[in-house]
Amino acid sequence: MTPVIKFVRPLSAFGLAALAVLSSCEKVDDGAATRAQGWDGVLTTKIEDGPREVFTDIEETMPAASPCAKTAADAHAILKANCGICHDIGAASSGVPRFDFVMDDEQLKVKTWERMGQAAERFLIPGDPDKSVIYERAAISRNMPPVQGDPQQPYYPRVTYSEASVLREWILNCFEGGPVAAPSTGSAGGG
Amino acid sequence: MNGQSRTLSHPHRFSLACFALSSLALVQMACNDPTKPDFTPVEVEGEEICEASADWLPKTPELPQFLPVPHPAGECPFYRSGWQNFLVAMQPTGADGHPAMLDFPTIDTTFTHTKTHPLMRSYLGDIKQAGARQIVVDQKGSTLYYGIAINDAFKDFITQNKLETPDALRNYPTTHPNLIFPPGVVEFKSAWQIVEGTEAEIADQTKDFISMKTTVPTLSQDASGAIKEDRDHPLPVTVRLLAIHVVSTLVGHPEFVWASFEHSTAMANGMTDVKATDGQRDVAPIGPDDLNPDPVDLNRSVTKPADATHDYILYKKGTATNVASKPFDAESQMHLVGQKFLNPDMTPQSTPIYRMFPASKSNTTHPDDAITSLNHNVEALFNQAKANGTLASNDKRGNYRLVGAQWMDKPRYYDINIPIQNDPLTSPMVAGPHISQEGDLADPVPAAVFATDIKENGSDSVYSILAGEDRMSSTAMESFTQAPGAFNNCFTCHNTQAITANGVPLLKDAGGIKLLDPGLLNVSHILSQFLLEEYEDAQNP
Repeated sequence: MTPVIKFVRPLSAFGLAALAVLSSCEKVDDGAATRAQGWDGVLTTKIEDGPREVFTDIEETMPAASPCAKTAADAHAILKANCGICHDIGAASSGVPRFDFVMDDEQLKVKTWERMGQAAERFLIPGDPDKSVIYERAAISRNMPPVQGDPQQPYYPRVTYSEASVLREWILNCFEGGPVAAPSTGSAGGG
Repeated sequence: MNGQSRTLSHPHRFSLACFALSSLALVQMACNDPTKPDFTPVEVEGEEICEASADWLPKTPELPQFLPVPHPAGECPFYRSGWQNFLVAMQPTGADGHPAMLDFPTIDTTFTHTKTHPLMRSYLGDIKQAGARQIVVDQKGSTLYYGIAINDAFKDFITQNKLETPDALRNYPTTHPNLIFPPGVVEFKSAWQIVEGTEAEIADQTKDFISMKTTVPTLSQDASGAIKEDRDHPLPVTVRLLAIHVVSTLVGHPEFVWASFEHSTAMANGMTDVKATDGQRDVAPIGPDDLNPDPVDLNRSVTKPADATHDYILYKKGTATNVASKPFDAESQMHLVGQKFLNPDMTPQSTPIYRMFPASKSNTTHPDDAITSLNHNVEALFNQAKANGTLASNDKRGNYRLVGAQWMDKPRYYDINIPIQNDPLTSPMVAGPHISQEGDLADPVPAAVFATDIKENGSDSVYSILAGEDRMSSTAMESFTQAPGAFNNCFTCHNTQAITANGVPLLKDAGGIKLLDPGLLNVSHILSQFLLEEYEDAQNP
């Protein structure tokens, strides 16, 4: 997070101070004179010498160590909610061969999705979301999670376009070292 | 958000300390009899502090990308994104200190026109506003000129998806149905005013403004009275920036965050400006008595002037409210003399403008605390840089203020062919089970409950899919569409519905010429503007 210098805005402070003055003085200041001079200029436009308080972590602005840390956390939450229901439940996970590592970035990066008669595709290619199976199927083809054909079947929440935006940013910009070379051999997994 | 801060953070301690100190100081200074202070207990209202980053000046870095937290968290990160993108685009560049945006891609340099145009077309190219294509005229009889630019990320997105041609664009809803704008894409729509006179007079008129030497289209008026713009015959001019929309995607927000800025005289005058009511915004005044317009009367029976004593760039002092912010009924009523609009007695024809919603919000006239705080902090940052000698003398960015911004508080409901408005007829909150503010599955909200809550709380309602300023318009760019029920906010036109040649959804423009079918990229009117130019070229081969 970029360090920020905090300039306190003493609007309420000034307003309350003015109220205090009003309540204690016969001389009424409706603020007009102050505004004519620059409103609360004395309190706010003066730049004081010396160091200012520096915050390196602004909780409200970004509750994470870095933009990518926040994006990765958001992406993992999306994968957990939308994909983990079938692909993060150990031996019960779906896929032939079994795809049970949707929450494991390292495996996603190196393993491939293989189907009979088709070229193997990597689950996640850092720097290339469009060619990453987890992004392509969830956000472009949008055929995963599967469409709920039978109302009696469980409902699988689909990735929203907003969530797709998060996944895209995560894959595109949030893996150290940029794109990872394709593995020479890789375990297969089915979606 | 207004009033109470939803997240209390360390700066509040500082505020309280300031309060205590300044209270004592003021009492000491102002009271005739300091021996009888009567401190009536005052409830301390929480403020939302919104910081400016120290590294924004003098050279502003690119915006870091992450997904800000929605309500009930504060809105500061969204406003900050607008400010930072503004500072990047308006960074003085080159020997002449022109704004960096001047070197950014434009429609001409991004898309491929069917018709061959001269290489030297006018840089600024539009005088008619979105909506009803009306024309605003300043107090000197000149129209404003609008410019559109995009950042490199936007152009790269168009290129990588091969959307440069008219056919590719028209077909994108079919060929790329799930394509969304990625994070980091920025577009700019800016409003510029011509300044004229001797070199010294021009220098005086531009000394506090971002300005540039550029070109504008040649205007003409045909026999029917219609005003035509000819970009192929550019006229050299000097212009100054009155207002600008800075529109950017963030992670998780492919609908864009729509931020709007306007000029302020504060810093140049040694004053401070943290909200429109301080009288430092010189483009247009706010409505009389700091009131939102009556939704039934629309201020049309209000004869009191918006400002009786001060002229503004787009408002003549004393103009009655009920005749302001109104366009000419028809272009045939406008008299183009040379490149100005003049009455028969050669006095300027003008369209006085005022801001109808003082805080750009439907439910309050109190500006958002986060905007107030951030504007102030940016102002302080500029003052500090000035004092330190690190601010270039041609850096005028500190003379602008964030008016407001808009985005989806619940971006999960961003989808194809939706209006993106808080309307009980279309809201997903009313239509069926939905995801609540807390992220839980919730029952449908009765339409009456929804409507009441939106009316009372505006975009701070738990049922609102929007956040920020839900009645935001630029007085320089949406001068005539500010009234309630007309075009309430950015998303009224910038949504995923089909778009017409007037730049509005087909559903609001029955009989209009459709440029694009519904699609996720329709939020940006860069695409439809290019197709509009294609349409106009076809009409005038």
